[in-house]
Amino acid sequence: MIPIRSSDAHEIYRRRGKRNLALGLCLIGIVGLIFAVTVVKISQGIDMRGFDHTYETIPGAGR
Amino acid sequence: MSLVDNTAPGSEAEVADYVALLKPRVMRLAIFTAAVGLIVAPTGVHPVIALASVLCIAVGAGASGALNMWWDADIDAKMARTAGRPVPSGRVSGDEALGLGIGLTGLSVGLLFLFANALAAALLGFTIFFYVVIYSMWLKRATPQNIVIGGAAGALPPMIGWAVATGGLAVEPLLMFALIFLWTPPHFWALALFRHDDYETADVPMLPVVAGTRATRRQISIYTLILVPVALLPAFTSIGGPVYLIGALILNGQLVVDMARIARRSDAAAKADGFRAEKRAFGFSILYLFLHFTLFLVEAACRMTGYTFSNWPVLL
Repeated sequence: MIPIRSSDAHEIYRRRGKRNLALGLCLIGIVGLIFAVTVVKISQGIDMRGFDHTYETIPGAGR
Repeated sequence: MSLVDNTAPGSEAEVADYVALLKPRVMRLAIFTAAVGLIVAPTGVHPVIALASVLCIAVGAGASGALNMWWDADIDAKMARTAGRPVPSGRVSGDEALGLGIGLTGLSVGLLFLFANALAAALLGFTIFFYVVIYSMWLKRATPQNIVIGGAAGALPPMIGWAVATGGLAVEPLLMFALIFLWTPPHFWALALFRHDDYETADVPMLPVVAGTRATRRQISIYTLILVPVALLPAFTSIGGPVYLIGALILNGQLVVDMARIARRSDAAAKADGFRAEKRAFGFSILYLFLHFTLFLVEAACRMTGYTFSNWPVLL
């Protein structure tokens, strides 16, 4: 059997690693951004109910 | 079986190449003017939503940069200034630039709709469409008026910022739009006066290439004369005031001096001193726009701290 060098050692992984890291940070950034905006919008009291649920969930609506 | 070596160093794009694809310098202008439009608007926005929205506008500007580089790779390759861009130099493929541009367009417009409102998202989508389809694909190679109309894309960000804050539009964001829109032609034509060899080799019909430098110099002075009153007018709106008026008077005075100097010069005189006045006017025009928007910020700060004239005439 041919001894295989650990694939992690190949220098292409180092170069691609940088790109993967940048992409990972971007994705974390998007998730964080959406989470932060969600927290702000909910604490400002945005209506979270779907349009099809407003009728039966607003007490007194439709009377 | 054939093996393609795509693992060799140098054949692969680095993070910096993807950043370059988003035209960070154009992005910077969009971020700044959009943020000013958002901050000076009468209704306040939560800082997190403001930050998220400006980020969306920045990503949208980046997306249009990537799509522009995908479409213009052939002419970019012919111009010394742009030959080193990621697509013409072969570090990023055209398909990749296209994919990234479309992906980021969807992401930025979609998220801005969720973060802010439908009007802001629609304006951002329209800005990208205008820059990529109307300017890059259609006008840039067809008419020497390319940058006049194309300037609308660069002028829209403050309107998007205002729309994020208020959910509507008013005369103030339209004046901010008009300021950038009318500033674009003299700014770019001053550049084209000392850079038109590049555009000639790439067959881009810039005004000095098509109509000659004499006509370009005359057009610069015409647009400057239209720009000056439009730049002074915001002083008498809800976002202006005495600080803006004084600053704008100084800036516009200097602009008229600079642009009049290059309008009167002959090409022989310009060549003799290495286009010094043209380069100076071009450099000042960047400062001119930046400082106008800084003055809007100063006025907003004055209003927040209560330093205002109660009888300042607000005409519009």
